[in-house]
Amino acid sequence: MDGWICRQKRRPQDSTPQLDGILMGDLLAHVISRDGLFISGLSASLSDLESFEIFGSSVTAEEAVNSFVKTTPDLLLVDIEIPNLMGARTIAALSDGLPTLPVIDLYDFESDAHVYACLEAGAAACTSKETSAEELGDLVQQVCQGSTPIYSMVTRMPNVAARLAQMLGET
Amino acid sequence: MRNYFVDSTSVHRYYMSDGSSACAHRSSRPVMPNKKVTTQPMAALTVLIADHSEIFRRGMTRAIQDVQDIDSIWDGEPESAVEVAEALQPDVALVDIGLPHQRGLKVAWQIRMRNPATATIILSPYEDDTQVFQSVKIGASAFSAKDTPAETLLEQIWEVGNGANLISESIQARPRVASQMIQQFESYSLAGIETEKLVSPLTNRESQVLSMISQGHGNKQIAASLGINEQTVKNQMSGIMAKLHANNRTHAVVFALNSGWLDMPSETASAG
Repeated sequence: MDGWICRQKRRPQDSTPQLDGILMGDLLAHVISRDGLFISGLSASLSDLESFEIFGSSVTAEEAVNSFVKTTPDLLLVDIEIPNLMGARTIAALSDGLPTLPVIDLYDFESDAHVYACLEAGAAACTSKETSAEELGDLVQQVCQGSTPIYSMVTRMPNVAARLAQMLGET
Repeated sequence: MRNYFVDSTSVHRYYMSDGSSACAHRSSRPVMPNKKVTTQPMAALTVLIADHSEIFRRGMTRAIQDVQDIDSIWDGEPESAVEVAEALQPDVALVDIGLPHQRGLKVAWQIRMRNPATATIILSPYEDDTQVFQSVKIGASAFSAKDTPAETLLEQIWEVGNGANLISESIQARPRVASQMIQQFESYSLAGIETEKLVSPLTNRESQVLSMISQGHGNKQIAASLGINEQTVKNQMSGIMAKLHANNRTHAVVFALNSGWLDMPSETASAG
């Protein structure tokens, strides 16, 4: 399946379900967040996605990596943000060990610095924690198909685009 | 008012197109931990959740569903919460502070002004002295970070719903906030300012109208922009002047600007 970077697990191929015309296996997501209520809400909100499961959560990147020894997720949702761009640093740290693991960063409020940091760290997407359940579901689907919605996000953020252009020019 | 709840063994939660939801039946659930068991039936505390994050609201609603003596009666965007709170008169309102502009503080203040019996808890992604200080100023009963464990937040809801003021604990834990409070009240006292006037008494719509007037728009333009009729704008303006004790529109604008209830109109906005 072209562009399908999420690994399929556990479910036999003949029982792979359909989700809006897209073949999906059991997708396992892991959440890094300190906010238990948000994790619970994520689980409830994304439960509408067939064959998608938030199977684990942790508070720090270290905890997450330790849990990946048993089961490597197909998708990582990161919500460790202000005040020191911790989410982006977490993504960067995890990307070193798991370069193909798609990451969606969830932030409390948008800033050029945060989006740039996520871009630099290798996040596939970043979105506000205030995004609706439906929009987040769409984003998860896009990322699991191999898309990197963060690129299109940058095009509507001139300061981030300019900084990126400057960085590319210097290299 | 409590006719939202009938005896039932299941929760029926209806999700609206705008992402808000309301509970129509009460569930049979475990009691709150650490609470005294009483033989007298107690009415459950009713809670309104005003948060921009639908995902957080769902998490909070789930947590509340797991306890017996607290009921979530509405959740939705903070912008709608003032009207809803007035209609439902919840015991407790959870209000997202709304970073970065802290718009939730105004919502919480308006809920309190219209429903003095409703205790408010300000929720924020993170705690800092400024936010705690602002929450104290609008009369919140508690300030809580959103990553507070669900059990703790449920305890706080229970406490403030039964009359406790937990924000005093936040002040005690933050010497800078305590110091700010003392300085602030000293300065108000010296200036003869009533603390009730510190937060804008204007509704969101009144602030919108006054903001457009500050940018040089006439009633007709304002009516067209807001999709209301001209007479409504005039009525709004009369209400604004009465609230601000202003003699005319200019006086109202200047008063609101000086009080920090209106942002200074930008050159672009004025030109437009």
